[in-house]
Amino acid sequence: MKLSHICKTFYPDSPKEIKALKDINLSFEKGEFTTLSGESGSGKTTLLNIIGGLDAATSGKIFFEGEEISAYSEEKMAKLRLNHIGFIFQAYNLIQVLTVRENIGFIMRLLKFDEVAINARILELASILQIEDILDKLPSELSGGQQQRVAVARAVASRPKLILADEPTANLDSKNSERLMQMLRTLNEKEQVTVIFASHDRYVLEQSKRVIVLSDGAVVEDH
Amino acid sequence: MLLSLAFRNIVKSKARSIITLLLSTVTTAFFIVYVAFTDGSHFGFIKSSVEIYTGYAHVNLNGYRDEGGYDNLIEDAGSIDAILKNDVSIKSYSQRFETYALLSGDEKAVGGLVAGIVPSREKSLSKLHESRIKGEYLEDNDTNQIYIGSELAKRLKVNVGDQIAMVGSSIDYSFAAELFKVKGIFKTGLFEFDSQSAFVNKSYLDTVMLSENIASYFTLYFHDNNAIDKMTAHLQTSLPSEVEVVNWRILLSALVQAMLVDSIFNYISISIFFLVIFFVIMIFSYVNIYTRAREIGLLRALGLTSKDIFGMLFIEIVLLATASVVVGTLIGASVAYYYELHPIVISGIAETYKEYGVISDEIPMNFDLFTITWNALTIFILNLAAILYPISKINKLTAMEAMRYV
Repeated sequence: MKLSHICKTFYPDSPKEIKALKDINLSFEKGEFTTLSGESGSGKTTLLNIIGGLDAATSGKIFFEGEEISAYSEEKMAKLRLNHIGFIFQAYNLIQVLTVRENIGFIMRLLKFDEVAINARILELASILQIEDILDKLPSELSGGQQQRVAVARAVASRPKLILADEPTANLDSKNSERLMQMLRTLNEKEQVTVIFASHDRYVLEQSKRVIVLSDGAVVEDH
Repeated sequence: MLLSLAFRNIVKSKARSIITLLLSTVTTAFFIVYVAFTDGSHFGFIKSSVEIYTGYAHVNLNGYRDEGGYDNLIEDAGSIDAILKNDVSIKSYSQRFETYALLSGDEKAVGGLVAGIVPSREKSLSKLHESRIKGEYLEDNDTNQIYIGSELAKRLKVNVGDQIAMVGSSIDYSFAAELFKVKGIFKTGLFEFDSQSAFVNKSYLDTVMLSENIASYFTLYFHDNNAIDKMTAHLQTSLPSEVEVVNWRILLSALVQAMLVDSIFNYISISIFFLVIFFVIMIFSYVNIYTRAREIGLLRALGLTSKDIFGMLFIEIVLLATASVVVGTLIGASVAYYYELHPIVISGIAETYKEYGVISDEIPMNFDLFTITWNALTIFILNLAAILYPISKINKLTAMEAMRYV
């Protein structure tokens, strides 16, 4: 994935104008385990949302596997997300009316995977993420840590090429944070999934192979 | 998947679903009952007007309706009678002879309609017998007995047992005069009819007017008066070409026009009802959908397209509307059916109703499956239409905007 001269301005041409991102130029290779870091308001979540097509850049271009996607329509972008991008949100964002099993298989079903393959994948992920015993529960019956693991399972179930995780450890204690990161690291290594975090959690930064630091909407460090 | 998600959303959001169901069920039931009531009153009004005296159809000589008079009478009533007698679609019929004459009491004289009727047959063709308020109805062997309207009795200042002199013209235009004794007085509630009409046994009147085997027209009821156009067209084929069959819509064209105006007001009130219901459902749906903006944003973020979101929300309303319209229709149709069989009786207003030509104080509902189905379908479509705007609005938000929507 390549970002070229990405800018994002909220409330343009108004007294409330905020330049959230300023001329961002970045490339992400397949299999990366990268964290976008920075203080609150530095623009890391905004950048993550733009990478995932949840928000549009004010200017600049985004390329995914060599194809420019910044001009995609909302429908085309939705299909791209469905087929290639998995999301892990800070607030878990599980579908409340579906059980854990159905949440994990949700995207695979939208992609019309074979039911046998869906069930096998659910069991495989449940085993890796140690959530076998809660598969038939509703999200409202789970703890924060359990919900986040389900969110991870949902994000990786269809084997997307890219996983975007926004502050995935923000609502977890240190033990659950460690467990989550280990799982994502394992998935990254086993399945060659590209993972990009937006986080200022020290533990997430330590686990990352690459850290991009943003400040006031600009990249100030990339190592 | 969308169907499952829609169904789960309905089950999960019980309060929201129950309110939507109730709103739509009550609307459907109310609408069906309202239409059944207005149609019922409408048909009741027409039925009363038709059944008081006119009848559902007339058989008369061509030109009789336009010119009247003695030049357009059926001169061989027996042959027409034979044809009508053999027609299985006809439930009952009778011939009438009508003339205008001067009627005089002891003090006053007024012009009026004098009609020769077959009293026994008229019982199943008009409300003359049921409208009697004083004295007796006519018999088939009556001679110089007369049965007059209440207003006419007032104008002539006569009562039961009093004598009335009739002066008129027989069909050969010779002078015809006779003395009649008032046998009974009727009141239909139709002022003009009650103030101008008098009835005599036809066989006796024929001797006075020299109108034996002559009729102004035949009045008749079909077995299926609802299919009046088909019935009259069919009957016309078996009658001589100089005779025409005219149905009540033409005979009572002024009433039909009045009903049309009434229908227009009904349509206006129904349109206002639709508009109110449409906006109530739309505003309720709008609020409902926007309280789910975050959930919708999440689904968009996960890869559902706006078409998928439309599909999911549409399936939800289709499921809710189907359930509520079915229940509402069953309730509404049951009420309409019950009150068609057991009309609402508002006792004490019969007299008031009579002023409008309705001689019954019963207000029946009209149970008609086609109308009910059509009404139910209308509410169903209204439900679906009302959600289109809220869905289109929420779909205009990006996934992130929807997730952040407060």
